[in-house]
Amino acid sequence: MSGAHQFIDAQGDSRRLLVALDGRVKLVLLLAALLVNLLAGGLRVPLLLLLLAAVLVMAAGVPPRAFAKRMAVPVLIALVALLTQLFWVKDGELLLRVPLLAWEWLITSGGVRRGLELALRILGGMGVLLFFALTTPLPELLRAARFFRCPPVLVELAMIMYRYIFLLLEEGVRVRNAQKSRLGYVSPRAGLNSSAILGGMLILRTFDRAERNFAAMLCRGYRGALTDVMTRPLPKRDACVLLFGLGLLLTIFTLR
Amino acid sequence: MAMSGPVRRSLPPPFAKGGGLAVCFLVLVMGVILVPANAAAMHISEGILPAGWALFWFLAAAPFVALGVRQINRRKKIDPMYIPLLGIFGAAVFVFSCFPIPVPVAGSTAHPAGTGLSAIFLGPFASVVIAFLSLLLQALFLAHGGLTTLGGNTFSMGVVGSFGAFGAFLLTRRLGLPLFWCGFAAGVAADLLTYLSTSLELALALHGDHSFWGVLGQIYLAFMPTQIPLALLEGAVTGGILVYVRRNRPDILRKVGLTREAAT
Repeated sequence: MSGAHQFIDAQGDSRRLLVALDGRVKLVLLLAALLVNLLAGGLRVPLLLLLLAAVLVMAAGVPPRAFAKRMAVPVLIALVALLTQLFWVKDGELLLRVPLLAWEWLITSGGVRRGLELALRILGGMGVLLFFALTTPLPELLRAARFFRCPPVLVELAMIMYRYIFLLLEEGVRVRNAQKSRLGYVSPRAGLNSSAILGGMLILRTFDRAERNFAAMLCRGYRGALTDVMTRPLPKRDACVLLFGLGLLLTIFTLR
Repeated sequence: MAMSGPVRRSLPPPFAKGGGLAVCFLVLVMGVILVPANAAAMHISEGILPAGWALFWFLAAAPFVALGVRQINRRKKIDPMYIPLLGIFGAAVFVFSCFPIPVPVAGSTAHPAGTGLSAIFLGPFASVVIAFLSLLLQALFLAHGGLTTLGGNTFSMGVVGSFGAFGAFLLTRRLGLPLFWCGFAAGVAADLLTYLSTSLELALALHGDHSFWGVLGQIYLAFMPTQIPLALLEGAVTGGILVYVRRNRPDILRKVGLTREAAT
């Protein structure tokens, strides 16, 4: 397994309960949590979801630093979203007049409230999504997608894309490093040229690989469609987790 | 979400004096903050779109994805190698969009969208499907973008980006421009139209009590310093890729239906 592969679903091999849980259960709970986050409104529900996601990520054995590192971009986006609402929403009480050079920036209670709501909704949603990302291997998700009648061609394409992203990423990094070592990015013009060659090389390799890959797939029994996915019955433990999770989300929703 | 609490409609606009300067300030703040997050800024993050808008964009993107899936199924019956090709091409575009291109104006690096490239090589409908899957994989495994915003992101990057790029490519070919400039037009159109439609989606969802057009203008202004150079760079790289492929493997251009283009 390559380093790049471990980068994405590092917990894929873990057999802890939260990681080993059936993909169908996780997918239902993920969608339910995102809907609760979107529909509840207010500050309490997204905050609770964020805390829940953080606790579950720790319980799943993901290092807290990995979670915090991945939440850095959502935090930045949430801050920008908060700021925009302070500018764009002007209802409620006037809280503050900030003199800035020749003009005044008026901050209202409505702006603060809506900004916080939006920022927490982003953080709550991203926290839940990140929990899923850090604890779910792709094959598990694709099995679940087939169970929920997702078109087979989409599942097949997603599988091939996922497999080749890592292979091509390694190739791309090798090409780019070789270009760098030959001063390929020493100036903006050289950088553009090198980027075009890098992209062109990826296209050429794509077509060559596709032919070789198709021949290999035929040799291994490919008949133009995915092999049927074996859907095993939901284990009792996972069904209990599903019921408990939905109950917990309903409770959180009623706390709004 | 609807807001409760006292509403004072008599309040002056957020900037009592010097509205132009205020806009400049907002533009500066957003521009400075968003520059490092350029790649993620192209995708609307989870939680930003309210439920109504999220559903609306899903419904708007769904017919294009469905038509794309239908077209792929048809092509697959004719050429069984089409699926591995499409999957690996999608992965290549995904990987290419991960590599930074230096942006001289912003003093930073930016990431190409890659939609122009996939629209030229695969056609707009297959490109929508590839964009949809890329966004799904990014949301689920990199936590970029989101699931409830998948419809909005697919519409702006997949539908608007792919069809805009394909239209620009066809138009410039009809005008008889060299292959590089056709690729350039497709790359610029894909990038700029994606940014324009993403901004539109954000303005529709977030304009609050401000006028929609005012907020849309502010978002355009905020992104302009990075998006216009980025679009030009993406155009140059897309054009360069087409020229590189024609020079080294003209048979590939012939295979994807650009035969005449390969000969020029």
